[in-house]
Amino acid sequence: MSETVDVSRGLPAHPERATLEGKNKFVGFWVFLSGEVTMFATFFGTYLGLRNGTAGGPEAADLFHMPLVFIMTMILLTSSLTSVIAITAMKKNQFKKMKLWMWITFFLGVAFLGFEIYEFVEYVHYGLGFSTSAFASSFYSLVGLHGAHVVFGLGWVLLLLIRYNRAGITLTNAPKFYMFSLYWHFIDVVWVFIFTVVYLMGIGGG
Amino acid sequence: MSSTQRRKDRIIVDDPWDGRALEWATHTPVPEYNFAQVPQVRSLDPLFYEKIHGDGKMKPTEPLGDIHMPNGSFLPFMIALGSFIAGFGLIMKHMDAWINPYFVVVLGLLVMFGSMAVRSWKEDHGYHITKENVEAMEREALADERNR
Amino acid sequence: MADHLSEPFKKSAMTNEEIMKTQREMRIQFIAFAFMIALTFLAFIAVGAEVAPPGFVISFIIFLAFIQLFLQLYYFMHLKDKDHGWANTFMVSGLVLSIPTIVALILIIGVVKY
Repeated sequence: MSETVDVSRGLPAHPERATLEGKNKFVGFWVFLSGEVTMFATFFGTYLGLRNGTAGGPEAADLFHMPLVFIMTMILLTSSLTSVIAITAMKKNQFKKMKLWMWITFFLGVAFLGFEIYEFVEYVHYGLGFSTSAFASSFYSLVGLHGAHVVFGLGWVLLLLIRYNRAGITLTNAPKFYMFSLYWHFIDVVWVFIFTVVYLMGIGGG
Repeated sequence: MSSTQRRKDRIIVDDPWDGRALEWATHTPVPEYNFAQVPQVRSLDPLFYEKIHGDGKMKPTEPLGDIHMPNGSFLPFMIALGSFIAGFGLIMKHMDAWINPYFVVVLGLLVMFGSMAVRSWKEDHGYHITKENVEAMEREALADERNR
Repeated sequence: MADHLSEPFKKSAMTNEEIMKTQREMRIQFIAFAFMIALTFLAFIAVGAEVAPPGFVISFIIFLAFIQLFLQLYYFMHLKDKDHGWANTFMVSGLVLSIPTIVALILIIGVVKY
């Protein structure tokens, strides 16, 4: 049951899966992500079922603005790319570069979150409270759940960046950064479906 | 029944029911590392297969060596407790309690995510059982088995 | 047993071949990113232009979303690489489970109620 990592030649090419702990984290995290897929599916299904139940309140087509959603999508897609660059740097043992791109990912995430909060505040001003209608509740639940995931991801990467500010890339923190990048890509995937199903279908498809 | 009597009556035969599956292939009581060497599984009923086709013992897949073990941790319990408190806070909304339910929710979430953060912050590499200790524990278990 | 878990490394153990491979992969990931941006533009234009009937536009943008899902999972999250058998199994079973979930929820609370 002993695992041996050859460290004499330097950082292994796949530091995130070099140790047994890393391998276990890798498999476990994919189990978690597939569970998340199913959870988001229930929220999407609820939204799709209830999106016409506006109960006289504001409707999707009155509320959503394409430019704002477009900017948010671009920000999140770009942050997905920056985390990919960070992970590639991690594999090459370029710690400074990885840290820089992770910070960029973090700030893009903060920008996205800021837009999302601005958006929600705006909708409340238009008279779309959480319990205004079935549409409002399911909309806020779905997009708010995604926002909560973004908040969690930002807290996560901030913790990692502070904790390992000077540590360099080790066999312990490489899996952690890698799992964060998987999580971040997953959030991006969910957002792709949210902007398609919620925003674009709300604006363009009656 | 006194605890000393229980100790005497404890079943320490490795395979009392002539079992088929892997759990009967290790010692009873089970050592903390389960198997000193990872057994080679050749069938869905590995122990039964070895009893029919082999000598009734699992073949090892690796030489005997140090065994890496995780440290015990209190944090998973704290994560579960925090999630329970937060969930309880959410159903407290209609309970007319003396405390604001949102306070309970926030407290629970703090405990839950705080424990997760602590778990991430601490580097817990576990410990090793040395080869000598494993050998000693294996000998003891075999002696127990023979004394029955 | 290596107890080299918390110390950084001075150099990378990558061979030249592996570095080349990583760089090639990076290039592919940039192309995938360009594709994703293009698909996003296409989806927004398809809705914004209002030339096609809504039924067609909806199926078209959902199709685009699935292409993006594929690009993210296989190129950004490395599902196409080797040693990802279990990851693939979990993700595919998650997606397979999602489809009846969504259909059932639309039918039960959507079609029946509204």
